Amino acid sequence: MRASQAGVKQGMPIAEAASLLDRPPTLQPTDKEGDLLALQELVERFERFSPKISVENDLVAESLFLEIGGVVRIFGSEERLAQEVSNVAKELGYRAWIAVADCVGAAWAASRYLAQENEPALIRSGEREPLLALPIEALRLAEKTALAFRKLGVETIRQAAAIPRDAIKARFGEEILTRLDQLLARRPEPTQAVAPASEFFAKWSSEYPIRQGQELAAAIAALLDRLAGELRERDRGLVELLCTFVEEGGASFERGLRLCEPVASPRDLARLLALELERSPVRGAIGEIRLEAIETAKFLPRQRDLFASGSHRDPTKLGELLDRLGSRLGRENVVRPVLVDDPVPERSFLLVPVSARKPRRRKPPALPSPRQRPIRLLVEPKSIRVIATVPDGSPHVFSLSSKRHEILAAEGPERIEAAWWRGQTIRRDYWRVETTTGARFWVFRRLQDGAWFLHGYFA
Amino acid sequence: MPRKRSPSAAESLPALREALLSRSERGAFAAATVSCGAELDRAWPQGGLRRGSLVEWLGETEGCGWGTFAFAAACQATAEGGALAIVDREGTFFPPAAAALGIDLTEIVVVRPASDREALWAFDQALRCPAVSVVWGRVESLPGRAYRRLQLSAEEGGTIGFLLRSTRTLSQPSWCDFAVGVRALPTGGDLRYRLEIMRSRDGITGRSADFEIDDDGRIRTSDSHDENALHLVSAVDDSASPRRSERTGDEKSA
Repeated sequence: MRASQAGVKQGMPIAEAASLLDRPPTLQPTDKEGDLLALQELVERFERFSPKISVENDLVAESLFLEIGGVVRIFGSEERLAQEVSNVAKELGYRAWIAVADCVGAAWAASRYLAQENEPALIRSGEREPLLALPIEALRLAEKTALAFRKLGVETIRQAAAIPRDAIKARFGEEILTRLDQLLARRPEPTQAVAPASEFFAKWSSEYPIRQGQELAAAIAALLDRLAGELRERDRGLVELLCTFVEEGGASFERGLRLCEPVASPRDLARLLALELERSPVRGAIGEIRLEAIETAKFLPRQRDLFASGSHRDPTKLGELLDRLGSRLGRENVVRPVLVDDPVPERSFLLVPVSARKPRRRKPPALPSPRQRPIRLLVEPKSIRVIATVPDGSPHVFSLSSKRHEILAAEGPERIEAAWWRGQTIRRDYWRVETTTGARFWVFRRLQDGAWFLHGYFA
Repeated sequence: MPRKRSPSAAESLPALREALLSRSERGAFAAATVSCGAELDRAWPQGGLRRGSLVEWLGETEGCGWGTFAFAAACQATAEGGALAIVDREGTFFPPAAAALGIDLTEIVVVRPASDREALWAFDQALRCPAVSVVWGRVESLPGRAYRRLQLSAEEGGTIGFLLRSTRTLSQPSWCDFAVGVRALPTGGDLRYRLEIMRSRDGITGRSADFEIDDDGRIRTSDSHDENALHLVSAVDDSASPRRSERTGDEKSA
């Protein structure tokens, strides 16, 4: 919000955007996968407006498509329906641009170029004029293609539609024709509906609310039994489970469970859920419990190996362990490291929760030698006092919390810099120092002010 | 699995030791040892690391190399398969260094517990898991009972626990197979370490040898070491055996 107020726009070069702001911006890479997930989560909220909702997964992942063919009359009119969708989005804290049209392409274009925030745009069935006046980008083109059109002086869809089809096909390929036809409802566009979230669902409710303890555990166990039974019938295992507890007064709260591998055993599930509840206990009297399988996956009971050594590599065992650790310690605390190509040590790796999808194997950055990087890196570098032989030279003695370390050998400097557009400016000279006792440390001098810090231990 | 584990106070030390040896040998993995590379294996009391056992790595100060060396050994031990679990209580584990020591980062699981209690629990859970080969982590405070539980869990899972501890803990009761002190030698650049067996189940301590970690993270015998001069065998160290009154807590069936 603040960035947009300062005049930052989508597609602007980072340097230009940064110059508009009074302090260096925090940058994050576009996360299409994350966008997709967020959209998928939103689907559930709009389920009452449409029997079939799909998520855009094309050049960008920004839109939800709601098929409203049979439901308009329930809401009175298309305007009323669109307005209600808009209200729901607003309540959820989203800024939404909404359009109603007779095909996906037209709705996409109208939502971006005709709708205002919270003011839905309507394109009547068969209406073509407003669409033809739109800029060429409204065709959902790759940036390169749109640019090529503009270079030819083709700026609106009307102009593009006027070019003979053969010529377009020869110059830009089949895609443009498809896009044109999809916009003008001349070609159907299949969408992939998101499966309703609550395919597997179990509910328990009682007029006599229960409190935490054995009763609660028993109720959950019974629900899990039911849910697991349904799952097993269809050879599916649970990957993500949502538990909703409704208190006597009507307040409800949720507890989630995300697993590394599909699990179908009610006992295992109960154990994991118990750990989760131990971590964040349920308080108050519970009148209703709902269990909902958010995500399931094909589950085939594995054949157990007869030999002891076989179990040594059993991947389900590892999955069980990770689930248990994640339930008690928090999923964000059970991680796999992934190296990132960034020279700044604290930014050179990511810790990805193991229950998230396995990270794609990227080309690993060039590996240092074991003597170059310490096994322990301090989260916050510690300030140290250093005596150097010459002002910019190698450290000679350093003291850390009043303990003096005589340096026997210092290797360096290894200069590590990060440009200002990555946030904070970083300019450091790193030294690997070895003390007279053989202990090894990783220290650096901040080039801006010459201050010294301890950053790691070759522990 | 039925297990008898309440040594009576009357039992003598040798009998206890024998009981310990014979009982653990009945475990499914007891016979199996894991190699840390031929050169390092020669330094171990049993010529390798026994599956289902705990090893203490002792260090004097930060930067003395215990963690690095133990990690390099763990990389070698996981080469035969299984995951390497890291219990990172301080949140300081630095993956680029781990990769430099030769581990495939997709085989690593890092656990970041928020308290010592959680750390101990995570260590225990990881040891119990047969898909794990080595659990590596710093464990300073370890009451005898919790220690015993770790050892039983390692036995159950057929895993190996690498406990990084301060040399000061040497006087405390222990359930490790052996404890090895690590000291970085001043070399002016190379990663060279002196290892000394400071505690061992069979009572032989004091053996020492020098090793280096090369640029690929492999552990090699250091040439600078004169084996005969430093090959010392000290008397049996009684502190190696657990206190007799020590009783184990019931395993949680969770």
